[in-house]
Amino acid sequence: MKNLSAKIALAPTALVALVVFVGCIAWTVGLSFTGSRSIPEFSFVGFEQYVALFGSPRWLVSLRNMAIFGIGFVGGCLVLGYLLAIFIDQKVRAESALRTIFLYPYALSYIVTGFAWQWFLNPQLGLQKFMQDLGWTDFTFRLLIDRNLAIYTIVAAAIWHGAGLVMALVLAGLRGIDEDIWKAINIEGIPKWRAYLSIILPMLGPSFATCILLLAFGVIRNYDLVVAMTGGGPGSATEVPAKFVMDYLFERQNVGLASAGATILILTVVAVAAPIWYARHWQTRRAASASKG
Amino acid sequence: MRTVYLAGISALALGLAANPATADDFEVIHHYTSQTEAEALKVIADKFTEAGGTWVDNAVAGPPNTRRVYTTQMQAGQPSQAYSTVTNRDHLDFIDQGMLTDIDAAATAGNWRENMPQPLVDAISGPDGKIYIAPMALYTPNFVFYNKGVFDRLGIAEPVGFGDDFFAALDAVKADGLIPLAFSGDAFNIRFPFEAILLEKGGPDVWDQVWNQRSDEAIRGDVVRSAFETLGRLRDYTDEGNIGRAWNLSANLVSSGEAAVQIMGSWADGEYRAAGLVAGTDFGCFIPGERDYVQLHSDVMVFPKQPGSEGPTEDQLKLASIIGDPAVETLYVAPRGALPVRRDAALPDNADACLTIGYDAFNADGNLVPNPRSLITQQQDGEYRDIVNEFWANPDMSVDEVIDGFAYALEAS
Repeated sequence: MKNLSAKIALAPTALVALVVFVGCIAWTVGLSFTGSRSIPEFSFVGFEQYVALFGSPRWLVSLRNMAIFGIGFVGGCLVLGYLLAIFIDQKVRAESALRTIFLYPYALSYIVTGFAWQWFLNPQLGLQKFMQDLGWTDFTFRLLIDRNLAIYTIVAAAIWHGAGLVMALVLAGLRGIDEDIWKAINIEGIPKWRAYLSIILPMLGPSFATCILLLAFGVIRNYDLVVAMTGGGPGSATEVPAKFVMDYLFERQNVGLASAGATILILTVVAVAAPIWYARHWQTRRAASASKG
Repeated sequence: MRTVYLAGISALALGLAANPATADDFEVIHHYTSQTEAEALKVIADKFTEAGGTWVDNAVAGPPNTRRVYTTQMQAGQPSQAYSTVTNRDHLDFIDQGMLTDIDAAATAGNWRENMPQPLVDAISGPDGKIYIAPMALYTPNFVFYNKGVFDRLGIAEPVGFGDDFFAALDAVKADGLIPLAFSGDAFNIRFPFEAILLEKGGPDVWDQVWNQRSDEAIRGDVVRSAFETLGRLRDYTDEGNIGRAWNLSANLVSSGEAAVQIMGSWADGEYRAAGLVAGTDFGCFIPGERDYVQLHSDVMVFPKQPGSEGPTEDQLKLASIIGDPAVETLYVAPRGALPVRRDAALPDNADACLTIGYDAFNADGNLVPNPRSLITQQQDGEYRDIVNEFWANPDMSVDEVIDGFAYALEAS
């Protein structure tokens, strides 16, 4: 048998992955069909928990916020990250220092990011007070406590956190672009912005696919940033699904409902990841058959 | 080198495996991490050690985290011998599953039923009438604190409750340029002002109809409506930093004189005292309403059933008896600024004017009402806090809408 020793060496890892990941997911999905309250138990209730879930105003707010956060965060990170990468790619001086600065926020945990931004935005502690103390007494800056805008402050903090990662990945992609392409662009006299938008961007497809996948998982598991910045408030204005699951699992003693929420989240992960994986798989196949033919 | 490394790892693994308790260890999971809390718990731990027990302390900060730990342990079949929580009805679920042991022998021997107020006895009993829980300290969640210096300077007298005199006082403070009300607008704290208003307006009858019977008529009735209207009116008297502010920071605003009034449970007394203020001289407090109705709120210890034993273990009964001892009670509540759970236990020497108000209210007949958390599930409680919190944060929400949400929380969820 080919690679027998390699397979034996990998077997424990595969087993752990199977039992821990697949097993736990199956357990969660199973519990979502039960009437479990504080303790998991197997009294099957069919889709009752899902009906309750989509009847809960808080879950619906959470889903809406996840959509806003997802579009704003992924879009913002990609645009800002790409711009930063282009900026650094201009052979600027002190490149590595700048790269470190832009990537640095990513080294902070979401909790630290959240608290730092919360202090910065808090009307009594942060920017508003600073400006008022300087003499601009009319200066108001109340994004964090405005229930219609609070979710966007979370998006802003998350972009600050994640844009550096996109920059690093895209920069690696930019450095991989053949010099000849740039020479061709120069000879044709194509403006730089046009080159970056219409020629380079499509060539960076795989880099962006990786970024989107990484960021999308960040969207779905977003919990700590919200807890640190707003605790879900004002009111329920910044609730997110992962926080819903945690609250119902531990605080509200409703394992069944929390599992139903978690199952919907798993389905969301699959829905996001599957098309990307499929597209990449298809591209590889096409590339392989093209090189053969 | 590699062998040493591996040996280290396996020693660590063995150590971890061996860690969960030898037979005599008595593990107590609790959330008492602040200095005064730890000081109080030490009273009980020391007595327990004196009586021959081996106390293994497992402090987990924050009640939700504590709950995470003990629920996981119980599910895994390796429960601790005791854990702390506050009055709620989690234990009913656990009793259903056969996971808790009663401590009725200790309670009967210590005459708990004769010496504790009836709503408390109800809250610590199981469906079979046996006592499962040992209460450690009482608090009054419906309390109002105010800065006496500010009130005196502006010539404001202490209001009776949340009536016109209360709003007149807030108006006077507002006109002076201070923050009238130091509010904490988040899902954790929002219940205290609302419940204080509801209890004053409705008294024990409406209280029972809303939280216990959950009658639609009462929930949509005039008293609840007027309580929400009063709560909504308070929005005009607080500062914009109230959203998400912790209750102790709100207390600091009052003790520093930046704000005048705080509606918060009697535990805030400790914050005022820690700021160097004296009750009755520097700050005042009152229970809102003509009559001092008080809501029960108690710190309790719960006893999971141990693997291989049907009833309580000897050590579990030992701890329950120590907690229920009136002399220990007085020592335990002293650092915490709390009230003893037994009527025959003396107030500690350091009790201040605020504590005495609470003590008198608790011990007058017919004043005590149960805690909603003992009557509704965690799920209902969560939905209820969500809707009240949303109402607070959203001035555009009508009273009709919040009442619909309140009814959904208590009736449907």
